[in-house]
Amino acid sequence: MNQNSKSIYYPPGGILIWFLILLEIFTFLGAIFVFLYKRSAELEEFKQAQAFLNPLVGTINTIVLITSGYFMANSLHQLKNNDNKKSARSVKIAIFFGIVFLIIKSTEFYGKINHGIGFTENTFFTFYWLMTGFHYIHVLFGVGLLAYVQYAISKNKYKSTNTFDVESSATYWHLCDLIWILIFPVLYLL
Amino acid sequence: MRLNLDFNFSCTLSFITMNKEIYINTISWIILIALILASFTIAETHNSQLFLVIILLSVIKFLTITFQFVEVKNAHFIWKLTSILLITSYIIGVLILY
Repeated sequence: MNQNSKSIYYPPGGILIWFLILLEIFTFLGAIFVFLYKRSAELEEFKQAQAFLNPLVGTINTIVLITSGYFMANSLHQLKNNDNKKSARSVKIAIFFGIVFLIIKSTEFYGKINHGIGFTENTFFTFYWLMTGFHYIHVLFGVGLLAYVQYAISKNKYKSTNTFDVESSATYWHLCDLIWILIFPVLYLL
Repeated sequence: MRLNLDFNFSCTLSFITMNKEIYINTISWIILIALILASFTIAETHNSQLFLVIILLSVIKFLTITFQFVEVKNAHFIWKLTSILLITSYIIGVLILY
């Protein structure tokens, strides 16, 4: 947290990343609301389609992503305490869990494609591919971003007095957690 | 000498604060894992009446991540309010449309 954190113009990670967060969450909320509206109209079809998803896999993936976010949150505190070595290690662990998330999700996608369940299968799967696919791209980009952050921290490009980029990247990474927290129960559990 | 003492004190204070924050992060992470597993267990009962509990657990997860991991707890009031309004709109939307 930088010194101006109490200012309205300096939310954690900076105001621009917060505009992105608001935009992204509104986009996903819109998709979730339309999904629920369609679900109430085609309840049986949605329930049958949902049976093709494995809630246990979704739950494991949620734990994996949250664990990644936990390590990213820790890395920022370690960096602020001038412990670049520990900070870089925490980001590395966060990246590892991010990649695990992507592998599990890719396996799930592959299984669906193998069963011939595509984008146009039915309304449920149109939303499934849209929401999880869009989220997947976010995580993929996030892993790349964290890889750069990890490299820069390990090369001492960021220090306790210069954490803004790391804070913004961490906030972006938490955005991936937040989006998943919203779409996971709607798609897998309800 | 005074400067050195001040610097050491500042470093110690920073270390204690960092450890405290990592400790709170760890507690939050354990709570989040418990909530995720609770959501899964509830969903496995296939009782549609319990959907509200699953959604409420998601709300707690969302706020824990926002306030603790994103550190909105240290931000200006407006950003705390924004986070709460976002998740409130989610609950309202789900309650109306489910």
